[in-house]
Amino acid sequence: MNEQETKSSGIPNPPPIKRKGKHSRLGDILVISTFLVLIYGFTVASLFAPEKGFSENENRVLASKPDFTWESLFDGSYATDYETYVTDQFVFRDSWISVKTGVERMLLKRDINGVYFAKDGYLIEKLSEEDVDQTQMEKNITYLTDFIQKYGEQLGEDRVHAMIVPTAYEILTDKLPAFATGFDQDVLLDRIQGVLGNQFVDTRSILRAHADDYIYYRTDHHWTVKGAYLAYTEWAKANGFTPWSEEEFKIRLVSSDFLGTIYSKVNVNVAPDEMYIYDTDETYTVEYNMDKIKHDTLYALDRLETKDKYTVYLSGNNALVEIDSTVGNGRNLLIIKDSYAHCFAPFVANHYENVYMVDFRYFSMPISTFISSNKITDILVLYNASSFIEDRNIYNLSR
Amino acid sequence: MVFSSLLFLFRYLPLVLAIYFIVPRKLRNTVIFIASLIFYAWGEPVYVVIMLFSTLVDYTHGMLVHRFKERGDLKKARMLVASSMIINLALLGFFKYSDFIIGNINAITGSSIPLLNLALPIGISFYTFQTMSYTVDIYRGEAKVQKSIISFGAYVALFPQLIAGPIVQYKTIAEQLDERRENKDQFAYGIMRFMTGLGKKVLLANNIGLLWDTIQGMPSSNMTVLLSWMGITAFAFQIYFDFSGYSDMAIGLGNMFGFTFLENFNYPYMSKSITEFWRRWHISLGSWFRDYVYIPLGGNRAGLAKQIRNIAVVWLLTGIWHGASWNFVMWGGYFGVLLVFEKFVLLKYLKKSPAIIAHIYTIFFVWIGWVLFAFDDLAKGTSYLKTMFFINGNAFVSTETIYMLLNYAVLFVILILASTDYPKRIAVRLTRKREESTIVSISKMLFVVVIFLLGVAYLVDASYNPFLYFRF
Repeated sequence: MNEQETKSSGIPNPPPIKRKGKHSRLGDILVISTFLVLIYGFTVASLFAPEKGFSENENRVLASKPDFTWESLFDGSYATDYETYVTDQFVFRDSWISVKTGVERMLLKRDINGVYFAKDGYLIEKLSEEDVDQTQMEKNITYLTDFIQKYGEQLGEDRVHAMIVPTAYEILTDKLPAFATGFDQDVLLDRIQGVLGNQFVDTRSILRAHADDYIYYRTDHHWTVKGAYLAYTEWAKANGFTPWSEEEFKIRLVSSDFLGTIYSKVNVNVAPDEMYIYDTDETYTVEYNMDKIKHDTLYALDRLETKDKYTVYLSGNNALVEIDSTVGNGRNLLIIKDSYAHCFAPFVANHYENVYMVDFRYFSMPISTFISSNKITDILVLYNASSFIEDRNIYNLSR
Repeated sequence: MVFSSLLFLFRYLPLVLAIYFIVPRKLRNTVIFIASLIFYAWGEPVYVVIMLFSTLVDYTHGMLVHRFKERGDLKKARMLVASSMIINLALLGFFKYSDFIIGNINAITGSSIPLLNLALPIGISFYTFQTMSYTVDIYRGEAKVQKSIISFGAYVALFPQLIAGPIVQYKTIAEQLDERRENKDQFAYGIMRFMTGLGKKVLLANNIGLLWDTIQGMPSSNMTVLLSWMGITAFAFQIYFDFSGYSDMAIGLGNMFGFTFLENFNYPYMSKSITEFWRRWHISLGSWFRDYVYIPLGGNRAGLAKQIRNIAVVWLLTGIWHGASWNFVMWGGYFGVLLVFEKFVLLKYLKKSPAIIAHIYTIFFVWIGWVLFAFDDLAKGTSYLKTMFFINGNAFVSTETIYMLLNYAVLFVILILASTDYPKRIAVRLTRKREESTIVSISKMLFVVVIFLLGVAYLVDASYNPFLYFRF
């Protein structure tokens, strides 16, 4: 700090601007007109573009113009809401996201918006150790193991199982970028298996053995029907059934332009996924949420016309789904699940009189009541590892 | 409101520019004043009153100081300067430091006075410094008294520099307030400058900020030595590109409206000593403390002991100005000690040593400073430092470390280049004597288009767009 020194460091103060009087340079005129066209062009476009409600790509309702009140102005919420509205409704929203992803790819980033750009066109969700809520995870493990052990004692150990399925991150390790790390699902599954023993259906080895097959979607966080089929064979073993062989199904390609949830996070140009259905000649009656409407199919083919094509399997997320089959063995299976079960349930439907699927995100009846009033004889808790550790509804197992 | 938002770019700025250039010249300060109040009130609908109060206080104080000086009543003039300082510092002290003081009293005496939990009014650290400088400048005769409350209000609230500086001293723009002439050349320069700043903030600072966030949030068991150095490097780049980008945007916007602000950054990470670093980093703050604290205290002309005292005062104040927390005091003190040491011992050796050594020395101590700066919690900061120096027993490297290094390698290279003046020098060399050629003109236009489109893409995507300097 010295007066003489500090004033002599050669800083361009003020910035040198050459004034050319009337004859402005071409550069100035180009810069000014470009800038004005850009800001006014996009302003006008964004003012007059029609407001969008639901974004299929993001699977959420976009913010709409907030209502003005003096109260909301003074507490600052009007400003915040208006800003969200401008961002959400900005023109060409999806294209901007693609531009951003493109830039990040040029910077050689191997994960963008929480998605690994893996080999063979796979987009794989990134779940880092730091993102995991350890307390939630510990609670969920306790709820699950307590539940399985309690009903194992009531219904028989061979009738009550937990199947926590590893996600693509854990199985398709060869496809991940080099040195990629994340939450170690193996450790979690080993722990659960350590407590539950045979009541835990371990799908890891069969899935790993088929890691080169098409068992996870490239653009979606779900497994494919093929993946679900492999898990079904393991599950059948644990329950003492003979699984149907793949030849016994009529495997149909129902869509080849599925772009799933992970795609939406990055909006980058990738090959879309194919979707299959394992059809049978069996007849089923399906009822959703006890609405008394009987459907004769496990598949909602009209959903293939929408963005969220995965809902083709048992119509997506519902609080309660009941599948009646022609089997007459007097056994009723309850599946407590996330959406991984939607393409899995069709396989097990062939082994029970009734299959009930319950989704705790929407289902509010105490599960013990449900079990006793529906003569449940078998139980499966089916989640993927990633949603299992994060799900805040699993405490319902204790109700 | 912040500059790097869609709201600013596609609602506020087009509207304000249009109105500003449509109205007659004599109304332009009114437009600036009202527009700035809206800009401020958008995020702080209530606290805008405090800013207006501070404006009014110094407008009247300036008038009175001027009048007493004309009458030769220096004693009263001086009392009014003191009164202005007391009011402004009381405002700043109350809103920024009361919880800090209460917390410390509670810690020392074991009392339990409840905290006030006041939200910090945006930009209060900047505008109180500006309004104070006005009254002092009037007293010193370095600026003419501003008779128009509108023009003075426009100076204080001037939205380009309102919330994060540069701290514009009144005397440096007094004439421009009433006599500026906007022109195309300056407008075009302003656009280029604004785009540079937007790019720095949205494309560079926000991106590397993601890495710092990740590393900062890691449990210490997952940390590695290399990762801790990468982390603090990420923070160093984030804060530089964030803050200097904001200054660029402010200077650019100022130019669009015909104002010329002084520079605030001059490639600080190219410095070859800490002394030099502080001449290149946040220049407007350094100048403020020099002109309104260091020199009035006697500077370096009142003997060695007083000089060291003055340096200590300036640096402790600089530290606490950055935030109401002990780590900022330590950060300021740390640099005070380094600067004194350089001044009396090291500087002559640094001048003789190879440039690379001087660079490494400077970066090393600045980086350590950033650790002090980054952690409000001293225990966390200390633990982080220990990791950096192998004391915590962390591994040097892990798979995750390599992954992150590879993931950010290209960005790091860009950041290193962008924090030097090489890109600018290359641009100057390429365009020298060809400034009016078509190819240079088109390149400039492309620069605007590319930064604009990429910036908007990131802003649309951004759930991540915090402004670090909002805390000040």
